[in-house]
Amino acid sequence: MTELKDIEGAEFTASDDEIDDAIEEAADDLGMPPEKVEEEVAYILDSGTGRANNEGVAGAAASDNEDTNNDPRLEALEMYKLRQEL
Amino acid sequence: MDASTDQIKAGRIDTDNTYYELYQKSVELGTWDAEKLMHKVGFEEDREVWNSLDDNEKEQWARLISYFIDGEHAVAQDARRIMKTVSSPWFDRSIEKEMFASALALEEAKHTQFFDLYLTNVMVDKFPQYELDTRRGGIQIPRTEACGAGEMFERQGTLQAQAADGGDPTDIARAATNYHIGVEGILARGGYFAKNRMMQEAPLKLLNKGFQFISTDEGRHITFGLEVLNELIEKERDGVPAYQGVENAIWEQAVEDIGYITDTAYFITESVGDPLDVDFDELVNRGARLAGDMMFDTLDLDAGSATEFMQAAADAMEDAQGSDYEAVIEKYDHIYSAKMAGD
Repeated sequence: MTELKDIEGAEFTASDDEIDDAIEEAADDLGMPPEKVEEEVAYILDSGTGRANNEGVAGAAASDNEDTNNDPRLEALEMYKLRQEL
Repeated sequence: MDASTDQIKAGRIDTDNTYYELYQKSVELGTWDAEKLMHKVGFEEDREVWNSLDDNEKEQWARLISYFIDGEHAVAQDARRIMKTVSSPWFDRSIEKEMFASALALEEAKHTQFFDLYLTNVMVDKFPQYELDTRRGGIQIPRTEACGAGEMFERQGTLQAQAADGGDPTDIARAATNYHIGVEGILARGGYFAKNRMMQEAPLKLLNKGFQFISTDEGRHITFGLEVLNELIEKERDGVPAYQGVENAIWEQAVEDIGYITDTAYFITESVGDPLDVDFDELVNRGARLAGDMMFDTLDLDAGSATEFMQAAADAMEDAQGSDYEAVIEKYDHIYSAKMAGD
């Protein structure tokens, strides 16, 4: 499995610090270890390949993703948070 | 806090296996509940946007969603054949592959459920005769029948049956190429590219969320398919007689499928005037690049080349130009209506 910040193949607009902060916050909300949240978000994007090939998430998303600043990693994190409610 | 993420010792299951990793990720990420998603996000915003679209914009969405609902239904039906194929003696009969294939079956059924619920509750005005199941005397949606996707799904059923029912490694290679590279890796991913563009003008929030979950599940299926193909290629390269011809089978199937896929791309864009600005050329280029990545980077295929594949896609674009789908849609509309009336 590839580390979230090592994934290639998409334009990333958020800094590594912003990603770390968002992961920490989500992990806290979900009651999960940050490492596990980061692993799941990475897998959403790359399906184990090391490249952000999830067109549905990593591509330009619907116009409702202002909160994620169009960064696919933050978009995937938002999706994971929703997934935990389903 | 959750329990430790340390791995628990297993017995007969190889937890270091890639297929096990894919299976476990399906358990962790792929077990979302479509009904809960509908309740959580709600239909209201989508209905409001949908009702604000003009008929041509709705038609473009309907053409895209038609091939997703029929495609998901087709792959859900074929999933049982994949389970049979990957447990055949051509592979090592690993339990991990079978475990993942069982997760794939559940996920494809759930994708069918998502589109079924969405169409019925938001887009029903464009699908007045949609509910006939293909196994209960129904047919694919007329729009699906009219374009290359319809033919591709029928081909998929034939190839999967050949592979599962005593097929040899080249049959398995054709079936896996058609399903995991063609249908999931290009046709579906091209559809996500199109939906991203269309969402800019027509932001259907619930539909977008559903697509995000579905494309995440499909990503694992594609990785699985490429791993399976890689196993077959390795045996061919090792000189095992029964596996000779695998690479050629992959290449031939990919070239056949790009024709169906490109026709579908034309059907959902230029043939309907492309009111939501997808762009046919960019859509085909994206699909061809995705195919090239899978075949020549991931699989390192010796048969064919990326240049030849791009040429096949360009030829298919020429063939698609000017296609008239209306007569076919009308014909199947008539058949569908007759079936609905019980004739």
